[in-house]
Amino acid sequence: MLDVWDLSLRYFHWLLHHVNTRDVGELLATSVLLTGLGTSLKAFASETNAPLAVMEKKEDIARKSVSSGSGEVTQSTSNTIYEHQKFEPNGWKKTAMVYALKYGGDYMGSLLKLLNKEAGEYLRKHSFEIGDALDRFTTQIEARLVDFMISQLGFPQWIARNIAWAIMFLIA
Amino acid sequence: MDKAIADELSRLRYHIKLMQHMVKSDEHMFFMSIIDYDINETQVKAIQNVMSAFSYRLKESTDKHFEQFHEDSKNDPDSILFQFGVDPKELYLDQAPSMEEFSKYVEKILPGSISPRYLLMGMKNQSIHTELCEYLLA
Repeated sequence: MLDVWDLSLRYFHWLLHHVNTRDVGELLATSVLLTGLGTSLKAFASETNAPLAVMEKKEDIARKSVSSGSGEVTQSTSNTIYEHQKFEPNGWKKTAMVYALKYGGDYMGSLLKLLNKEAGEYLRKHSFEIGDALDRFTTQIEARLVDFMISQLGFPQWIARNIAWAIMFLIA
Repeated sequence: MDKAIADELSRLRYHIKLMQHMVKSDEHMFFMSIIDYDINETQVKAIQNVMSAFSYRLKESTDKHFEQFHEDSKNDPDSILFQFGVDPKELYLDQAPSMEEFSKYVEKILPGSISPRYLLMGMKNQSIHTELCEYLLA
């Protein structure tokens, strides 16, 4: 597992590549915030080890049962089981997005470029809350973001869906 | 799973996701949430059983057939609710249903998944047990 300083350094490098010089103050503030978040970084470290896109290959599994709506399905005997490709949110990208949503920056600009004007307005108005929610969600992130934006923030469904899609587009 | 099947499944899931952006999602909020959260048909039916019982509890009925239907549902030994650790008898309390009670069953049927509020908003949006949804959301 990567240690906290290693991760801080990686995040700092990422910021240097993505933040303009005029945003140096913001960069420093973010870095200070980051170094103060010891416990969060442990979780961050474990997420960083997660692969971006996985075509899982499990060896030596002869049979596997999968529960489904209509009962249990037993798969055919095989030495190799492939699971469908999953794009999981990458740890450091997700962390960067959380900060961008909460405190602004160029990454937020990248997100806004993926949205139309109306969706962008909704995002600007509630970006802190969305960033906070994104920080909390660790599974089914896209679905939970849509859920949160509709049920808690009162967004129209298509706007919530577009914003969640754009966020996932950048972090997964 | 065979690699070709895994690839095909991946493609199908991705294409379904794209189609969600093509249709007027505001008109199908409940169905969209089912796809988003990868909820299966048994889980949806179990939730509908809960809604049906709650709806029955919410208002007085004078229809004997309707009463019998719920009496049978209550004592159904093959109820799908047993799969989720819920005895259908539990659903027929002699009091008006509440959001807390609904949330308890949602957690049993869809653990760690959709928020009960969003689920109710989706059903209300598609006119499924509208009156009950409004009552629980109030």
